[in-house]
Amino acid sequence: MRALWAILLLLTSCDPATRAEEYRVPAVVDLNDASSLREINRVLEEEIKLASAAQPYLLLDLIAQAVMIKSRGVDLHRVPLVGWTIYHPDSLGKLFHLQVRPPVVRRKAAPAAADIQEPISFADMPTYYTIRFEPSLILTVLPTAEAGVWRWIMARAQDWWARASARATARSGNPSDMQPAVTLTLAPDQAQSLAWSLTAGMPMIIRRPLP
Amino acid sequence: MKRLTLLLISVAAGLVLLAAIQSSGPRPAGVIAARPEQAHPSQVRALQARYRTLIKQLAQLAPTEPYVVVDTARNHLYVRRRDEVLLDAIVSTGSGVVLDKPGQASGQWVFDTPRGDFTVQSKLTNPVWVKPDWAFVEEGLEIPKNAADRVESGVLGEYALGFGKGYFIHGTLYPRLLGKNVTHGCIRLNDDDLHSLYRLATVGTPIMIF
Repeated sequence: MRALWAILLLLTSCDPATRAEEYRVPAVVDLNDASSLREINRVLEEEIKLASAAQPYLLLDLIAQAVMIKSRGVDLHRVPLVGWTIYHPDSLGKLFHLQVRPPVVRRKAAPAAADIQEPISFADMPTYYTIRFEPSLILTVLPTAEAGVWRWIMARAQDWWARASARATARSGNPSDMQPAVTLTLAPDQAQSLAWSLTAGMPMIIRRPLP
Repeated sequence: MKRLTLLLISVAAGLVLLAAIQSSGPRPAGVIAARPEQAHPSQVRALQARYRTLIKQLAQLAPTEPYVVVDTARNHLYVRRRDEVLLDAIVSTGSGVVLDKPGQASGQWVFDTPRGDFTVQSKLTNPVWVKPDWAFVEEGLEIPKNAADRVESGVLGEYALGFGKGYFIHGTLYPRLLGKNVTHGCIRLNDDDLHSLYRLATVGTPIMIF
């Protein structure tokens, strides 16, 4: 049993997402740092365009450690990040649009059926999923271990495998296959909440950490 | 137990390898270098001024009058004015169930509450429900040819606020189902909250649904 705990401890310590926590910086903008100001100004410029169009959008703020669902500049909902990992941060300074929302298994109603179909609930949403944005970006959501140790291990192993395959493909001479990617670690209910709120075509801006 | 431990060791080894690969890259994942850039003070001042202007511009886009926020995952409706919450109500929103359209190979109705940014387009008192086709199909009934046969009164409560494409915020005959995703896409409220909402919202009030 002691060995099992040691392994779990090891898994936690080598989880790349935990490193974001170690390097957490204040959510405020450093008004004396030009890089910090440039990045926040870029994000605000994009936000103003989206807020003027009166449509919900996502702001993935890696400095404030949250994914925010916003509309007209107003915070509608905030999903706290437990951890994050980014690949190719230089490619993340764009406006992205979600291609397809995470899959949902829907119940089918039968005409004149005596029994009413169970509606979709929060629990039907996935805790581990990968979504694609345009221009090319892959966002993976992983649950924390609260979702169950097995599910956590499997999700991490799958994510690792996908990442390793992409890296191998890129090294084999096709660098365009190495897409910019973001991996977020969320509490299981927050992962489900985010999956629920996403809609196809939803714009997303990313506030990146300082270079 | 031995097998489980072995499996866990293999996964752990894989993750250690992953961590090693990532940290050997040119830019370690998740690392924020707290290293302020050396910029000319005039450059920093210009960036600061731009930042203040942008913050102001973004704040001006937020509604100044009350606005409605609907959380379809948690079945909650809020009326907010700036940072103040004027109403916090439990609602029922779309069930997400699908129903096949009769006589069509691939056509379906999807009973979702639409997500997005809307406005109150109409405010009705003592509304009647003009039953759409799906209501008849769902009950296994013939779709009536006469429009008058679609009208049903007394099911939507005292008020209804339309926000487009046939969707309304209205009352309910089933208050015990509030807090659940049970509707065909409309948003249901209890009588008291519906009354408060009707009083606070005007035609043009933003409704932000997520």
